[in-house]
Amino acid sequence: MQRPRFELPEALVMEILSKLPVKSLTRFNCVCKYWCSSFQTPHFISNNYHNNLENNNLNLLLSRCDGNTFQRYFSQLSNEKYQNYIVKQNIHLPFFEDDSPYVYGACHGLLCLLDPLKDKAAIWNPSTREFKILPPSSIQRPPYFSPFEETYLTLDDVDFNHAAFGFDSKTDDYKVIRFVTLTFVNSEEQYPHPHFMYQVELYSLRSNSWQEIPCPDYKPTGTTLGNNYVDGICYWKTETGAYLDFRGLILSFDMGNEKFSILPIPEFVGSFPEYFVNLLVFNGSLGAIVYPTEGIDTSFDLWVTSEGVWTKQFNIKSISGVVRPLGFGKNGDLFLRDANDEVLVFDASTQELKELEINTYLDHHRFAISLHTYLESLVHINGIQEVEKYVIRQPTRNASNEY
Amino acid sequence: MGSTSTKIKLRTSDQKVFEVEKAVAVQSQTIKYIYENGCPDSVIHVHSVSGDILSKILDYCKKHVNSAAGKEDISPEELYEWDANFVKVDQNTLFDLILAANCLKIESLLDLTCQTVANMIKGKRPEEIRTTFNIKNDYTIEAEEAVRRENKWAFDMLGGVGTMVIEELADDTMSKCVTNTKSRVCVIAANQIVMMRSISKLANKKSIDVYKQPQNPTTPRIKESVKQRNVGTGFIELFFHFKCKM
Repeated sequence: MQRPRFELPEALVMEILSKLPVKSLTRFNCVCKYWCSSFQTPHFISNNYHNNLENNNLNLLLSRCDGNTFQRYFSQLSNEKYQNYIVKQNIHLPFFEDDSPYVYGACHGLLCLLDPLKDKAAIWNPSTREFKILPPSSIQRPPYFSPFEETYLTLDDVDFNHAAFGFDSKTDDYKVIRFVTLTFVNSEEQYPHPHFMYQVELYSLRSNSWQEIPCPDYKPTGTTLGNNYVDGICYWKTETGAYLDFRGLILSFDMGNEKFSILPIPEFVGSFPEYFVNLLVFNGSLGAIVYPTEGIDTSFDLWVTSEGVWTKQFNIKSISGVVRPLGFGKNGDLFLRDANDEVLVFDASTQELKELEINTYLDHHRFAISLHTYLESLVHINGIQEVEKYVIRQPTRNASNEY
Repeated sequence: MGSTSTKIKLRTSDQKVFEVEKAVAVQSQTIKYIYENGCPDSVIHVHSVSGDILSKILDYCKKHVNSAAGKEDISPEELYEWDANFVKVDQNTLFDLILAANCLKIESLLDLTCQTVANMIKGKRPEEIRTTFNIKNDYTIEAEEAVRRENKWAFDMLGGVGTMVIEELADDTMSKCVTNTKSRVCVIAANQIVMMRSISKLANKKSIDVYKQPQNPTTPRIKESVKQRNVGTGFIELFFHFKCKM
C-alpha cells in the first residue's frame, strides 16, 4: 500500500479499524500509543463487537473427549463453509482436571469454564487469549442433621453440575451462577444412603467474589445445547412429576435482579418420554430442538419462545441414522451426531446432510461431544495472557495463513 | 409521473453540476436533510466532494435504490458482487470515497468502503500500517519491543512457532519452504538452499545469504559468495506470508 495523498480523520480511521479481526488489532497495538489505548476504550470494544455481530463472525469449538486418555479437548473448526469445517487447531485446557471443564456462554465473546467436581473456574476470551482464573467461592457448606439417624452427617461430595454465564447490563458486570450439590452420608454406615442439599453461588467479575443466593424450588436437570444465556437471562431445563406425570419446565434466572422464575413448556411443543426437548439459544431467542426418542428416522422441530409464546420456526424432516443434535453453527447449519458417532452438518440452505472429516468416531468418547460458538471480541476480563500451564493450542496442518 | 421523477441538482467542489432523481440523491442523509429543510428548486452544494467521486457515488446509490425498489432484477448475491467490483479502485479513490460517504452520510457505502480497507490491511505488518495511514511511531524502541512481546501470538502467522511446515509453492523460483527452529528458516529453491540467518533481523532486510547445494551431497554446503545477493521483495513477501516472527 502506498503513502496516501492525505490523511483520513481519526474517527474514520477508527471506524475502519473497528472492522478488523482481533488478531490484527492485537498486532497493531504497536503501531502507535494512541491506537493501543484507543483499542482499549469501551466505545471501540463495543463497535468492534457490534461489527462482529453484524457480520456473524462466529467461531466454532467442538468439544470432544479422547476415548483413550479420557481427556477433553476443543477443536476449533474453520468457519468457512467451503472448507467443510476442517479443524484448524486443537485446544487443551490443562488448568482443569482431565482437561475437562464444562463450558458456558458465550457472552460477548467470552466463555466461562467450570470444573464440575472442584471449585475451579475461569473466564476466557479465546479471541484475545485472555484467561481469568476465578477465586474459590469460600462459601460455607451448611451442616446436615438427619433427624432419622439422629446425627450430623458427613459432607462426602461437592458437585458443580449446572451453571450459566451472562451479563448484567445495569451494572455492566459479567456474572457466573453455579448450582452446588452437596452429598451427605452417615460415615458410620457401611453402605450409607446419600442425602442431598443444594446451594446457589453467584460470582461477579466486578467484585471478583462469590456470594450465596437463595436456592430455587426447582433444580436444573438437563443440559442445554451450547449457550444457555440470552438477553440478560439464563435458562435451564428442569422438570416436575414422576414418569407418568412428567412435565418439562424451564428454570430461568435474571442476571439483573438476580431472581429465579419458572416457565412452562406447552404440551404441543412436545414432552418426554415421547420427545427429547433440548433447550438452546437460536437467533437471539430461547428455543428448543424437539425430536422423538424412538425411531430411526429422526425429524427435528425447532421452536422459539418469546414472552410466553412458542412458535415453530421450522422442521427438518427424517434424517436417517442421526442420533442427536449438537447445535447451530453459522447460517442456520445444524450440527448433529449420528449412530456411528460421526459429526454431520445439515445445511439449511441446500437441505443437504454432510459428513465432517474430523474423525470424531476414532477413539472418541461419543457422549461427550458438544458444540460451542463464540463471536470475536476485545472484551477485557482482568485476566492474564494464556500460558501453557493453562491453555495449550496446537494448530493443525489445515491452519491456513491467518492474518 | 409522480415524485420518483423529481430531480435534484447537486454542485460539486470543482463546480460540476449533476442532476439526479430525488430517490437516488436522498440515499445521502445529508442531501436529504438539506433538501427537506431548504428550497426544493435550488442547487445543493456538496463542496467537499469532487465531480469524479460524486459520479461514482451516484452510481452506487442508483444501483442500490433500483435493486431495493425492484426496478432492476438483481439477486442479493449479484448486488454483493457488484459492490465488490465497485470498490476495486486505487487507494486514493477509496479514501476519497470514505470521506465522501462520511460527509454525505451514506451508511451502507461507508460500511462497504471501510470494510474494504479493513480487509486490505488486516494481514499487514505494523510498519506498513504506519505508511498507509501516515502515522508517526511514538514508541521508544524498548517500549515497542515490550508491546510486541506481550502480543507475540498475534505475530505468528501460523499460530505456532517452531511447527514444521512443508509447502509446495507454485512460484517458479521456490520449491519448498521448511522451518527447522524458532529463529531460522530454510528455504529450498530449485537447487539452492536459501538460509535465513535470523528472522528477527529480517524485517528490513532486502537481501539474504544464499547457500548453494553442492552436486555431491556428501560435501558440506558452500556459501555461494561472501557478498550477499539481492533478492526481490517478492521472495521476502512470500517468506513472510508463510511463517515468521515479525
